[in-house]
Parts: sequence; structure tokens; C-alpha cells
Amino acid sequence: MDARTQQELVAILPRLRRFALGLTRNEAAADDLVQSACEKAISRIDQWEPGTRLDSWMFRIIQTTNIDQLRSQKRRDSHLKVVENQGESSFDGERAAEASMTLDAVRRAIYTLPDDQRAVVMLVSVEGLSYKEASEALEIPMGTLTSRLVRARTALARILQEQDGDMNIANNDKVSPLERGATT
Amino acid sequence: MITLDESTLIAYVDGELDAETVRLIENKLSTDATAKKYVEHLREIAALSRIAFNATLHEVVPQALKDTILKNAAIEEASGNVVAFAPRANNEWRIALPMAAAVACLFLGLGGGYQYSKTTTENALKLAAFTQQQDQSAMDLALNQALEVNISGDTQSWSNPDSNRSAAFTPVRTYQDKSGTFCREYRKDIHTDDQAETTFGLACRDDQGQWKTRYLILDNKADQTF
Repeated sequence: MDARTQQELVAILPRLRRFALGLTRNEAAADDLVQSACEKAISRIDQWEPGTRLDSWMFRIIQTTNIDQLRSQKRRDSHLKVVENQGESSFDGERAAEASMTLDAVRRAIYTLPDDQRAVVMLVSVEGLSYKEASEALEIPMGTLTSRLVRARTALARILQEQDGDMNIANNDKVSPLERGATT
Repeated sequence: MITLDESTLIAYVDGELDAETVRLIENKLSTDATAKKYVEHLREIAALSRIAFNATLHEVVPQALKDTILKNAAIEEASGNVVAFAPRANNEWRIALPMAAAVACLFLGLGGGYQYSKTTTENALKLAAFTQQQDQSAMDLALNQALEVNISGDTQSWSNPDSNRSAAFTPVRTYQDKSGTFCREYRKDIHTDDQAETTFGLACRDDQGQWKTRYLILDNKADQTF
């Protein structure tokens, strides 16, 4: 790996950590995952085509590494435990700023999504990748990507709307837009 | 004929449709209030999702992680050819989030965090940027000092006559969370030339006595609030 690529890789580390956090829901696990992914990337740098997006390539490595780790370690139970303790919500509820509560709620809602949907949300909504880039990074067909995205978004909309009527996220009207007919 | 089903609207919000389809959808949306509301809701969720994970983006990357990548670079570039990265700008500035309504920035489609740094750096000369970074470091220290020693309500002032910048840091409230960590809300007033900016932050103390800002709320209407 040449010095320039190394620097580019260091520069995207914050985004890689963010994606890894979305996948693992745990900061320490996220850093371990990024660490493993970087080691893989360095050893397989000849597989990366210069001129293509390094970030997409890294997201793919992170995703496959995570799946491998989940399969081999079967740590799902410990992941679930972590989710309950996640976030900055340990302040006295009424004192936390409303904005932070909303963000907390959103993060937790995303954490409740199934792994495959969460990965899609992290890449498309959080990282801002196009559908094509995201489907390549996750190595799934476009149709699979869009159906996961639809399921994830509708689930998020429902979760966040259910959680609280007076948070910013909720619509003012009581009727969920989701309850309307599928075709209007 | 296009139908405003969920997957179409989601693709529309994600900017995945061609111009012609977008035009058709926007036509239909103008007469379908429910679908329009749903689109707004989707936009809001997408923007909140981005902001919700912004904090990670602005944390200091663990050195071990950088070393994994850079340890070889150091050998290759033994004579100091490695291009230095710009010093990190302060976390807090980039986690800005308008208070009155998170929604305000949502519709601008911004990731919250970059809002401030983007608008300033666009116009700033390199020298000004450098001075600002130095000021930022000095203000970080002053803020840390204020959070560490000032009682709530007491203001810590800082100024740099060279850059015409001054700041005041006032801890507002102190809490202790369940794990015993101290956290403080604070107010930060910064004056640069004739521009004033007030932000409200929530910082928590780590084991080393460093106060890490977890949330920062930019208040454009401070004068009305106070």
C-alpha cells in the first residue's frame, strides 16, 4: 500500500468507525472490526483498483468481516445486552436536552433493526451512498437492497412514531401516513 | 402512470430517480397531502439518522487504529515526506445542532456537524483558518478550565486581540449520571469581529479530567432566549 493510499485510509477512519458502530452497536467491537478490516485491506491492497472509491471497498470489507465474525463467534447475545446500555441516555431523563433525546431515540431505533437492514440504512442514510454503491459494497442485488431499505424505513417510521407523540420526529396528525392505502 | 407507493417515495427521497420521474412525483405530491407528509417524515428520519451517528465521526480515532495503517508508511517515508494532516478542529464545533428545531437543519439536508465548518472555511483564508485553529485550541483549554473549576453561573472569559475574537464560557448545570460521571451543561458565547454566536453544550468529564462535549446546540436566537 503506497503512502497516499494509507493516508486516504486514515482520513476515512472516522467514517469506517461510524459504519462499524452501526453494524456492531458497540464502540469497542466497532474499533475491533475496523482494525481487522484495515489489516485485511492492507494485505489485499492489490485487489483494490486505484481510481475506484476506497471507502466503498472498505465498507465491503467491514461488512464481510463482520458477518464472518458473527458467524464464527456467535456473540449475538452479548450484542443484545450491549444495546440496552447503549447511548448517552443514562442522565436523568427530564434533564437531557430534547435534541439529544431525539437523536438517542433514532440511534436506538436503528439498533433494533435486523443486521441486514441496519447495514443498508448505515450506508444509504448515514453514509449517503447511492443505491448502486451500497449494493456493491454489500454485495447484494439492487432489488434486495431496495426492499431492505423500504422495510427498514417503514420500521423506523413506525418505531419513532410510536415512541413519543411530542418529539420532533412525530407528525402532528394522529393518522400514520403508513396506514394509508398502498396505492393512492 | 406512476403510483406513490412506499418504495417509490423512498427512492425519491434518496435521490435515486431520474428527472422525469421526479417531475411526475412532485406533480402528484402537490395534490396528495398524505403522501407529501410521508415524504417529509422520510426526509426527517434520513436526516436524523445521519445526525444521530455524527458524534462518532468527530471522535478522536484511537491511535492504535491509525498505527495499523501507518506503521508501514513511516518506514517507506523515512525522511519525513509524509504529508501532515490538518490539526483536528474542535469536536464541539462540528456537532452543532440547531436547538429550536432539529428540523431546521434537516431540510437543508446537512449532516448537522459540517454546517459550521463548511460555511466558515469556504470564505476563510488559510491564515485566518490557522489563527482560528489556534484560537480553537486556546478556547478548548479555557472551556475545559471553566468546566473543571467554575461553579455553575460563573463565567470564564478568554480573548485574543490579534484575531479580534473573544469568548465566555459559563457552566449552567451539573449532573452526575448513573455511572458516577459528572456532566455539565454550559453556555458558550463567542464574538468574532462583529459576529456573535451562542451555543449550548453538554460535556462529561473523563477519567483524565478532560471534558468531552457530547452535544452541542447552536442557538441563533440567543438574544431572544436570554
